[in-house]
Amino acid sequence: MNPKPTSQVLAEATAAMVDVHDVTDLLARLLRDGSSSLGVDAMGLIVQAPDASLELLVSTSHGVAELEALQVGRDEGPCVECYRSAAPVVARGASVIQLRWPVAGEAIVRAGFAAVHAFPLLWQGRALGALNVFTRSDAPLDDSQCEMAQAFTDMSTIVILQSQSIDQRHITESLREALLGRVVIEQAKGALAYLQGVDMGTAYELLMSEAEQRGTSVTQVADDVLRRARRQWTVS
Amino acid sequence: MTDDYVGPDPRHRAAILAALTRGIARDVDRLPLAARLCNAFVGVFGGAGAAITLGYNQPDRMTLCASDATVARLDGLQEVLGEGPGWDAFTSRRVVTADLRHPTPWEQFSSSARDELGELWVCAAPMRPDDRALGVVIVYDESAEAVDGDPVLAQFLADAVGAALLGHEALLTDDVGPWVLRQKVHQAVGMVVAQLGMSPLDAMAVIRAHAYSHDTTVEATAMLVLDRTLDFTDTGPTTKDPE
Repeated sequence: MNPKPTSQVLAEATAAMVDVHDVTDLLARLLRDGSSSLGVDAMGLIVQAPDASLELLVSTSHGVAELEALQVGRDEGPCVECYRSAAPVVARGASVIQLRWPVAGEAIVRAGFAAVHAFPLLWQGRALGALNVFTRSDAPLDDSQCEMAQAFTDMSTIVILQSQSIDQRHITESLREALLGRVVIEQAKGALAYLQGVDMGTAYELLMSEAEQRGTSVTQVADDVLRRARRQWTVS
Repeated sequence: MTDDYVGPDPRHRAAILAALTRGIARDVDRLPLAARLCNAFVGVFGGAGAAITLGYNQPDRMTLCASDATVARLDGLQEVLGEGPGWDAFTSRRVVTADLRHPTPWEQFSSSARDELGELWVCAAPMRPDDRALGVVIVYDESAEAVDGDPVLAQFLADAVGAALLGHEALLTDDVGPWVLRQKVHQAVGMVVAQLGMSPLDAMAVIRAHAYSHDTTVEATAMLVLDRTLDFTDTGPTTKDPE
C-alpha cells in the first residue's frame, strides 16, 4: 500500500466542514481530545504566520502557552526545531532537554515536564508548523501513541489549511482525473487485447510504445485506441 | 443535504473528528486505509458494516472497501441493478435511508436484497469533500437504530471519509488494492467496445445487463469476457462451452 496513509490519514478531513471563525476553537478542542486520547499531559501548536514568522496558535493550558511563546521568542526549542527540520523531534530526561535548549529547555523542565515530542504539520513536503507534546514521565511515546499524535497533527494541518481557503475542488478533481486516466488505459488495453489477440501485458506495451513514438501521453493514445476500435467496427 | 446544511454543532465537530481520528489510527499496520475508514465510520455512527464506493454512477466507479459480505452484496446489487439508496445519495447529494422491509423507490433492489440478505436497514451518505459528490458510504444494520440515526452526523462523517481519501491517488490505483479487481472490469469494457463498436459507457451497460440477467456480479461477468468465454459479437451474447 501507499506508504503515507498512516500519517496523512485525515488529509483534507475537515474540508468544507470548518467555518473560518471557529478554527481556533476547533483546534483547541482537538488538542484537548488528542491529549486525553494519547494519555499525555499537555499539547501546544505553533504555526507559520503569513510573514513566515512563527506564532502560537493554541495550547491545552496557559502554562504550555507560555512555553510555546518562549520557544518562538527565543527561536529555540523542540517545536522550533521540528518546524525547521520538518521532522519529528524527541528529547527525554531533564538534563538532555536543558542541554539541548538552554533557555526554553530550562523552562520546560521547570514546568515539570520530563519528555517532549514534536510532530511537524506537513503539507506537500513542507512544514507549516509543529505540534508539541509534553509528558511528566520521561518514557518515550510508543508506536501507537506516535501514530495517533501524527494523525492529530495531520488533522490540525487540515483545519488550518481549510481556514486559509485552500482550493479543495482542485484536489478532488486531481483524484478523479487520476482515476479516469487509469480507467481509459485499462479499457484501451482490453480493446487492443481483443482486436490483436494479445494478452493484457502485451497490450500495455503496445500502448506505451505508441505513446513514445508519437511523443504523446499514454492516456491520449488510449483515447485514440478506443476511438479507432469503435470506428473500425462501424465502417467495416 | 441541501444548501442550508451546516453540519453538526461546532462544539461536537472536534469530538466527532477526534473519534474518527482515533478509529483511523487503529490497526494501522494491519489494515489498508479504506478498511480503517469503513471501521471508523461504523465505530462512530453505528451499524453492522459499511462500504465505501467512489464515483457511484460514473465510469470510474470503484468500491474501495466493504467491511463484510452483506454490505458487499448490497453494493454489488446496486451496481448491477442501477438503482438503490447509493445511487440516489450520489445523484441527489443527500443522505438516503431505507427500511428494506417496506416498499421503497427501488423495488428490484429491495426485493433482491430482502430475498438474499433478510430484513435490513440501509443508510447511504454521499462523500462531498467539496461541492461535488466523490462517492458514497453505505452502512447497513439489522435493526433501525443505527441507520435511522442522525443524517447530519452521517453526512459529516461521509464528508470526512471522502476528504481523507483525497490526496491518495496512488492508494486507489496501486498494485494490491481494490484497483486490481476493478481494472479487469475496465479491460472487459474495452473488449466489448471492440466487439460491438459502442461507447465505453454503453459497453459497461451491456456488461451490467448481462450480469443482471445471469444473477451475478459485474466483476464475475468481466472475468468471463476477459478469458473469452463470453463474446457479444454477431448474435448477441453467447457463452462458448468450455472445451
